[in-house]
Amino acid sequence: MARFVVVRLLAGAATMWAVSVLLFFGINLLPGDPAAAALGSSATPAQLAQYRIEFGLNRPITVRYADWLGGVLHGDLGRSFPSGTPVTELVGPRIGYTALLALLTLLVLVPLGVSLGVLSGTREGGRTDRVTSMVTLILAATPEFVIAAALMLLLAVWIPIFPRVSLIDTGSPVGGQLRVFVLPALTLVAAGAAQTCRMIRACVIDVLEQPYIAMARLKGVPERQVIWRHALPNALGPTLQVLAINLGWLFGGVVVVEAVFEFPGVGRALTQAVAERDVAVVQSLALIVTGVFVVGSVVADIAASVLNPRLRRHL
Amino acid sequence: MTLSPAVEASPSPKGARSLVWTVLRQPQGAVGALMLALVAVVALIGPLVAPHDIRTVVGIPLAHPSHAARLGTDVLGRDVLSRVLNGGLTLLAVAISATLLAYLVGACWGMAVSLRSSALDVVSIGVVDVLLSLPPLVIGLVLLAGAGSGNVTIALALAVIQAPRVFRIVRAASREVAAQDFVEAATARGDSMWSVVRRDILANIWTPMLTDFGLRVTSSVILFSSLSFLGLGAPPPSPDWGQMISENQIGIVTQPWGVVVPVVLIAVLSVGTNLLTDTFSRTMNNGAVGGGR
Repeated sequence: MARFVVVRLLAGAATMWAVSVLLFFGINLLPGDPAAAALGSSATPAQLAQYRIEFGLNRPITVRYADWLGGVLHGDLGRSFPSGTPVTELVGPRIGYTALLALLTLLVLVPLGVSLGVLSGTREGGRTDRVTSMVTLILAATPEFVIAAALMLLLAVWIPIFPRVSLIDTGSPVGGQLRVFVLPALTLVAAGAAQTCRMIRACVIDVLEQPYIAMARLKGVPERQVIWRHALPNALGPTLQVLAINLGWLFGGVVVVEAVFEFPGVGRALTQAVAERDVAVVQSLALIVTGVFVVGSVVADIAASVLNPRLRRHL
Repeated sequence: MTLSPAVEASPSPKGARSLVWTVLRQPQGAVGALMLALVAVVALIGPLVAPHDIRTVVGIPLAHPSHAARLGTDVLGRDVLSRVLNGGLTLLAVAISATLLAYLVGACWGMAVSLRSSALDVVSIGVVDVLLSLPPLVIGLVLLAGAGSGNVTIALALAVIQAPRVFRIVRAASREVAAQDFVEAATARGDSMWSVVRRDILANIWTPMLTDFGLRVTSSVILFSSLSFLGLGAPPPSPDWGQMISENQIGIVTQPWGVVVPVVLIAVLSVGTNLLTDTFSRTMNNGAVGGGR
């Protein structure tokens, strides 16, 4: 067990390192000049040169990579290219808002997606299953911004219950402003729960087809007990891994949803930085986001192996 | 995805035709195909029948539907109907070419690795795992930040996102086939690798690949329109549905059609593809393909 945990942690760390290389060199070796992008087309060659010296862009790329990675490991995410503001200062409060949005979403999404998935997986082919499968197929196929636009039309324009844009007053506590979180969270729940439900359903069906389930049934174990004692505990491990995979998709949704509702979070900071070609902000934010995803999948794998010792042999 | 029925199915054209018929005879498959056809017609014929130029201002901004502008005007006073009719072609062209590119790279790579399982396989899996640990939209955003926007950049970014996913599926599917006796026999009688790939592997994995291709095109459409919705797509005057939604969102209260119509078209496209591919894979898994064997 301890060996599995250590190996999985090391593999996660190696993935993160490879991701950092890929992100940094991917973004910096592409044919785009951050100095020209930051200063605009009217900049003179002298200004461009001055800017490159100021931001250290004239140094070899490997040195810049080492410098960036060293900074990230010490909590320094670099400076925004156009303005020179430290990235941590720029995104600090935004991380809190996005984390709260993600937390609220997951609090609804996980129980809803898992219970619907189990419900429909244990009744494969029945009416509940067919209705759930059809609805989740449609929801999972619909882009987040479409769901967001539909919810906005419905619950902010035609029946104005919730605010159309999620403006957060930074002066007062967030707890009193939870109304602005409702529509963004609802969009993410709709898209994410559908996806989760479909994958969990597949896990449950997969487990129910195992020989030991047939054995339990033939032995005369009541169906309720077959499902709760034999099937579901074994479906729990894959379920955790499914949830971890969906975390990565959830972030894509977060970026889009934050744009729709003008929500002041990490996703919007990332979009704005891409529009401004602010390479420093983009690479740091992309690394943080991917880091959350990688940590999530490492935790899920370890938890799954705790639940199912047989998994420890596969690596 | 279970592959065994596909492996047994005869890859003759007759089998293919009967599979298509079996799918289209089911209500879900027929509805999906119809939805897909509707969007394809709008995207392909649209530019030919659009009443106005996409740049011409035909009335006051955000005007309600009238005789001159059947779906009203957009945020700058341009005809919504004409822009809708012109907005699908780029979307489909970029998504399909990106997916084709991803398949060219991912499928060749996957099949090559499955036949020559060696150090290359281990390295490939490692590379693919790292690529898959990056959330798809993050890859798109990073590439656009580095290279600037444009349809070619977006198509390449989509291909980078999809290729490792194609690799995984094709590798898994062709490994299953490569373990079969007839592949061993072909290799033993000295068939070239190209011939084995074409006559034995491809012939047996094309149905699951087709289903996957449909899903990849849809997810490329969604990613492309998400990126242009975020304002990171091709420069403004050329319309596409994602961009129209984001432009006209400000006027959603006064003139919803500039948002509703593109929203519905994108939703119909992706739901239609999913209904169709879902029917396809279910039909294959049930082995309900009649007459092919």
